[in-house]
Amino acid sequence: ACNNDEKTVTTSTSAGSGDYPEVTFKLAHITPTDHMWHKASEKFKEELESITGGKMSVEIYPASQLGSEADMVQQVEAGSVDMAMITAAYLTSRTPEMAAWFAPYLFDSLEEANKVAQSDLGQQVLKKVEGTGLKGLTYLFAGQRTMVTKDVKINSTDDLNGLKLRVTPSPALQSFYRNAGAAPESLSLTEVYSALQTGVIDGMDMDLDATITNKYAEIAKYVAVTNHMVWPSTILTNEKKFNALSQDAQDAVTQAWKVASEFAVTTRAGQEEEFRKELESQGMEVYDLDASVFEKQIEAFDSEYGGQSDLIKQFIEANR
Amino acid sequence: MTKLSNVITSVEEVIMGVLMAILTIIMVTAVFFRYVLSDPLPWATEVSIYLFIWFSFIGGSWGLKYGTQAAVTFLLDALSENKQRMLKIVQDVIMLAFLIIILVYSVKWLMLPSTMLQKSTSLGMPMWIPYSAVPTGILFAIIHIVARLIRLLKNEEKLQEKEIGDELV
Amino acid sequence: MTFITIAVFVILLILGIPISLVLGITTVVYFLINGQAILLDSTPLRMFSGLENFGLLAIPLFMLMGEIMNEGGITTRLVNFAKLILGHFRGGLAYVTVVANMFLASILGSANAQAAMMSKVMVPQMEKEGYKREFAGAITLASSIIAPIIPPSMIFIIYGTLSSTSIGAMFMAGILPGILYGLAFMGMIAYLGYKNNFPKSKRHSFKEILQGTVKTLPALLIPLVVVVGILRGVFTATESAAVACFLAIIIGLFVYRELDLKKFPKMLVNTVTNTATVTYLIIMANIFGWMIAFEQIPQLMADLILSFTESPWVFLLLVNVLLLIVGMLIDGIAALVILVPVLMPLVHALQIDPVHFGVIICINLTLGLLTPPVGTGLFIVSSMADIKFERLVKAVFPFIIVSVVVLFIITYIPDLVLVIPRMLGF
Ligand code: NA
Ligand code: NA
Repeated sequence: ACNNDEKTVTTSTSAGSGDYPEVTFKLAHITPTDHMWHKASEKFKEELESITGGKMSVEIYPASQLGSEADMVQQVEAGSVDMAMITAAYLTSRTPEMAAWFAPYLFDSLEEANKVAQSDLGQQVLKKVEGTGLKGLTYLFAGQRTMVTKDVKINSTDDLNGLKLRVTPSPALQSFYRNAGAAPESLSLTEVYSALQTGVIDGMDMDLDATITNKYAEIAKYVAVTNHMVWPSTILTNEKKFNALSQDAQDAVTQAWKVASEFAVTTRAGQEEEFRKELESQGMEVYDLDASVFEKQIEAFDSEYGGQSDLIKQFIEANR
Repeated sequence: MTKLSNVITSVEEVIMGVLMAILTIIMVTAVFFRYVLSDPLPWATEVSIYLFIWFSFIGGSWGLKYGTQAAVTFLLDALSENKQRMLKIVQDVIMLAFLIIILVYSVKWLMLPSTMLQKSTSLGMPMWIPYSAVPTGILFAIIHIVARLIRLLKNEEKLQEKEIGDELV
Repeated sequence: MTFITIAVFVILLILGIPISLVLGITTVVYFLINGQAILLDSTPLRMFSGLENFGLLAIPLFMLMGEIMNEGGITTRLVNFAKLILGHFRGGLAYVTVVANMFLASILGSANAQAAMMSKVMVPQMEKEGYKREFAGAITLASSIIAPIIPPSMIFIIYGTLSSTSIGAMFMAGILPGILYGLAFMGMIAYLGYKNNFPKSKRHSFKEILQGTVKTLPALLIPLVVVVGILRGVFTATESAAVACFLAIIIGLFVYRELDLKKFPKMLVNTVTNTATVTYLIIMANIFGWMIAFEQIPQLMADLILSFTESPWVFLLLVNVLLLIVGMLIDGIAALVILVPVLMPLVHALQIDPVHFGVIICINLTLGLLTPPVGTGLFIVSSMADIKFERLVKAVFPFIIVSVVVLFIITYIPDLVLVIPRMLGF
C-alpha cells in the first residue's frame, strides 16, 4: 500500500507544507553509532526533517541505551518510545513467521531481499507483529551472514562436522548449522572474542561488518563469504499513536523510512568489496562458498519451517 | 503476619539453595558437553541467566528482611531508641509504597497479552516463567516489611536486628 | 525537577533506606513528578533485563568458590603459604593481600567477584593477626580493582566491543597499569605500616617454607587448572568459576578432608544472599541509569565538554573528573554502556588513542566501586566482612587518593599504557 502513497508524497507536497504536527519521536536501537543501522536512523531523521520542514524530528537513542530488544518492544507498546529497531532474529521468539527471513540462500543479493521486503509477502510477514499494539513500518537490512573460522577452512559440510560455532541463539538460525553437522553454541557476544582466541569455539556465524569492528581478524584465519542468510531488522512503532497522526504525517514517516532503508541497502551493498579487501589486508583468507554445498540443509530448512506455517511456505516458495 | 513472613523466609532459602546448586551443575555440565562430547548445550546460557535472575530477586527480598543491603546509617545510629523506632517506621512505609507500586506494575505487565506471547530465544520457554521472578520477589519483600511494620507499630520489634555478617565470616 | 529529584535522593539516603531502594525510589518519584508515569509500565521488565548478562554469573560462582575454599581449609593454607614468604615484613599480611590480588587478577576479570572472594579470605585472617577490620577490608577492596586491569578483564572486553577497539590490545595495555597499581598500594602500606606500627610475624626456616609449599600444592592446583583451562579453550572465564567450585569441593572433601557436606545448604544460601546484595543494586541502578539515559543527560554532558575545550589533555582531565563523579553514582559497566557511544566521536575528533582512552575510562569507572555513595565494591566488602559502611569508606579513602593519582599518571604518560601493545604489534 505504501508504494502507491510514495508518489503523492514526493510530488504533491513541497517541504513542510503538509499537515504536520510539531513532534519529536524517540527512536531506539541496539547498535553502536558507527553501525549502518545508526547511520540509517540519522538518514531517517534528516529525511523526516526535510519532508516536514523541521516540524517533525527524531531523537536517537543508540547502543541499547534504553535497554535490550525486549525492553524496547515493551516501551513501544507502552508508548514511551515511539520507534524501535528490532531484529527479526529476536522477533522470531514472539512472531514465529519472522523465521521466513532465515531460510538459507533464499536471496542472491541485499537488493533482492529489500525488494522482497517491500513486496506483498514481505509486508504480510511484517504485519504478523501486530496484535499487541505494535505496528511494523519497514525492514532495514545489515550485511549478510558469513562463516568466520579460526583454523578450519570450510569447503564442505564435512569440514563443518563437529565444529563449535557461535550462532545467535534462535532455533531458526541454529537448525541450519545443526543440520550441517556443526555444533552451535550460544555464548554471549561479549565473550566471543576471547572464546575464539582460546579455542572454546572454532568459529562463528557473523557478518563482515562485525568481523571488522570486533577485530576478529586478529585471531581468525578464514571467512567463508557464504552470504547464506540476510539479517533484517524491523522498525516497530506504537499502532495507536501512529494511527492518530494526520495522513500527511504518516506518509512523511513512511516515506522517510523508505529512503533510509534504501540508503542502508545501497550503502551496504556498495561496501561488500571494500570489506572483503579490508579483511584480506588484515591477513584473513576471504573466499566464496555457494549454495550447492548446502543443498540438503536448504531442503531440510524449507520442509521444517515451511511445515510450520503457510505464510513461511509461500514466502520461501515465491523466492526460492 | 510474622509467622507468614517466617514461612516465606524458609521457602526463600530452599529456592535460593536449590537454584544456586542447579546453576553450578548446569555450567559444569555445559563445559563437559562442549569440551568432552563436542555437543554444546545451547540452552545452558539462557537457563543459567534465568536461574540467576530468579535467585537475585528472592535473595533481595531475604536481604530486605534481614537488613543486609548497604545503607547509610549515621542518622539511625545517632538517635535514641524511641526515635529509632519512629525512623524505622518511616523507612518501612516509604519502602512499602515503592514496592507496592512496582508490584502493581509488574503484575500488570505480566498479564499483558504481549508478555504472555513471548518465548525465550533458545528453549522457547514461555517468558512469564522467568519474568515471574520480579513480582514474586517483590511480593515476598512486601510481606516481610509489612510484618516488621506491624511489629514496630506494636513496639514488639527488637531494635538491633541480628547481624548477618557474623555468621558469614 | 532535577533539583527535587536530587533532594529526594539525598533525603532517602540520610533516612537510612538501603541504597539499592534509594535508586529505585528516586527513579519512580522522578517519573511521577515529571508526568512520565507511562515509564512505570516498562520498569519491571527493565529491572529484569538489567540482570540478563552472562558475565554477571561470575559473581555468585566466585562467591560460592570463596565459601567452599573457606570451609574446605583451602584458604587458610594459601594464606599461610603467602605468610611464610612475605609475613616477616612489617605489614606483611597487607602485602600478601595485594600480591595475592595481583595473582588472582590474572585469573579473574571482575573486581566485584575478586572483592567478594578476598574479603572472605583475607579480612578474618588479617583481623586475627591484629589489623583493624576496616583496614583489612579497605586494603582488600582497593587491591580488588587490579582484577579488571590485569588481563583478563570484563570491562575491557565491553569497552572494546562498544568502541570497536582491539580487545587484544586492550588486554596488553592493562598489564603495566595493573602492576603500577599493585606497587602504589604496597607503597601506601609501607607508609601506613611505618606510621601505625603494623604487625609482623617471625621469619621462617627454609624447611618450614618447603613443608608449607607441599601442603599448599593441591590448593595451588585450582588457579593452575583454571588458567590452563582458559588458555586451552576448555571453558570461558565465566564458566571457569563453576569448574573451580567443583575442584575446590573435591580438594576440600578428599585432600584436606575439612569440607562438611552437611554445611552445603547453608553455603549455597549464604552465596545467594551475598550475591543479592550486589545484584539488587544492579537491578535498581539499571532503572536509575535508564531514567538518566531517557533524559539524555550523558549527551548533554558531552556537548558541554566540547564547548569548553578542544585540547585532548584538557578533555581527558574533564572526562576523568566527570567520570569520577559519575562513578560515585552509577555502576561502572552501566555508565560505560551509556557513555562510550557518546564519547567516542569526541575521542576520534581529538585524535586520542582509543586504547589509551579505553584504559583510562575503564580504570576510572572501576574506581567507582570504591567511591561512596554508590560503590558496589564497598557494599560487597562491608556486607561480607561485616564492616560498617561509613567506617569502610573512611579506611579506603587513602587508597582512593592513591588510585586517582595513578589514574592521572597513566592519563598523562600514555606510553605506560601503550608500550606493551605497540611492542606486540597491535
Ligand atoms: Na583480570
Ligand atoms: Na562509586
